[in-house]
Amino acid sequence: MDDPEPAVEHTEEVYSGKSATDFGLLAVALESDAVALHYPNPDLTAAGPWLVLEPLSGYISTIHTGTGRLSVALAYDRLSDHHLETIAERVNALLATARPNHDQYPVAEDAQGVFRTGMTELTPTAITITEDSVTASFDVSTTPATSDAVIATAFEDIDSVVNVEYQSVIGIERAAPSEHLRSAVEDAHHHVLDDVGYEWFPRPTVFSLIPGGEKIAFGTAARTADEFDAEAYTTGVELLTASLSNLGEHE
Amino acid sequence: MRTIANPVAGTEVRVKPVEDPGITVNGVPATLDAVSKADVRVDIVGETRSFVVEHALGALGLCGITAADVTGIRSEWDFARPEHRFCYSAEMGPRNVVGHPEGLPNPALAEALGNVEVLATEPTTRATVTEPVSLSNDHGSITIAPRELGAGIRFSVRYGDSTFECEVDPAGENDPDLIESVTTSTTPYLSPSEEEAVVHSIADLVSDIAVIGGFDDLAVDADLGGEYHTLTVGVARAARDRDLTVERQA
Repeated sequence: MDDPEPAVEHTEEVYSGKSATDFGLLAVALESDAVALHYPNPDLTAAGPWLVLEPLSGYISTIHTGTGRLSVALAYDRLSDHHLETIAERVNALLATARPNHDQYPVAEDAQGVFRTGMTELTPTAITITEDSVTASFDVSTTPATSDAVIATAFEDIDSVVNVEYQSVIGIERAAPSEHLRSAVEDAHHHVLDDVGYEWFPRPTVFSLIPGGEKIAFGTAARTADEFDAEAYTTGVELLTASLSNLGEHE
Repeated sequence: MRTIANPVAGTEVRVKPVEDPGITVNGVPATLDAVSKADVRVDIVGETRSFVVEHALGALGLCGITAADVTGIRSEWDFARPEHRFCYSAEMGPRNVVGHPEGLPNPALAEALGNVEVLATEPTTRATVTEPVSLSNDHGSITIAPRELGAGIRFSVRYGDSTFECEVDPAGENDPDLIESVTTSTTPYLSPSEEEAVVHSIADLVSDIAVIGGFDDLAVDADLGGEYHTLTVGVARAARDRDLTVERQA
């Protein structure tokens, strides 16, 4: 039997593998003089401020999107709706409505998440057909604009929809870092990268669990990358070191 | 200088007349020193940050307005826009984003500017370069060259397989048909065709080289692609940094 694929491989120049960014960012943290390093499980009772290293391509993040679950029940009468074609038509209409859509932006081709990172997204997880019901289930990626009413409105024009139930699982996390913490991290990015950029992290992470608002996330390498190279490491160390220095916690 | 007699509104912005030369966006002078980002878009930073300024500045430059106070007026979020996500994250408002949501160089603003009285003050100076300045990267190249006093800017631009040439005086009257065709053309990042993208790029060039860069008389030859504001802002910066800019009395 073959060995399972390792989570990460390490050469002098690069971490590679599905956990490459985790290892790379941990290496960055170990290089710093952080007061306390929390890995893999943070002590959530510890006092902040928190600097959370995540693969953010050099962006700063104060927003992590949330998740929810949605179930949409379709009209179904087992005596008259027994043809599969009828059920398929209704399900297809539902799935078409659930696909990402925007009046101005090409969200269907947006593989990089330039637009979709900020949109409520529905991912179908199951179609359940019983003797007296057809229900479509979705995982939902939520934004600050997501609400029960917004989701219900999305399906109100489909005649066959009889019930919509939405449940938030993990809420949107919006940090409220103090001016001192925000400035320390922004100034570090100005110094190292010549500019500041903010972007949302498109799913909940450990950042979402840290209580209180005195936290901010940043880091190098792309979220979808399977490599963490020397440049990502060097720049990451510079950003963290400068941020800590600006916070006055670096000797 | 040329300003407007009365305030006008366009998409996402309101523009008011001012008494002194220069254009400000949300209170920050639209100058090379204020540009903090120039790649897929142009942002300027001072007391606050304004995003995608090239759409409003392009319309102003095409309409020959050299002095104005531009303020963002949008009040609703659209988180599909990366700039709105930035603002929400950094506790700014949607009014900091002055770019057009459909990627157009603000045709409503251009139309409003075309219908308002323009107040011109003489004498004035006009800027050009003392010798050609070039900049290139993996995606394209640009050269700005001297031109005679009062000639305006001649643009010869290629984007992919499409080309476009036109004359613009950023401190004077311009062809209304040209203004309409440029301001109704979509940004290359959303544009359905290279033909439309190259026409749109004229607004970006006017914004970055004429309004932000401060040039009035030039011959501009550009082969654009990728994040081309790196080139359009970059060449104006290169001219300034190499001390090749000259102001002449009009």
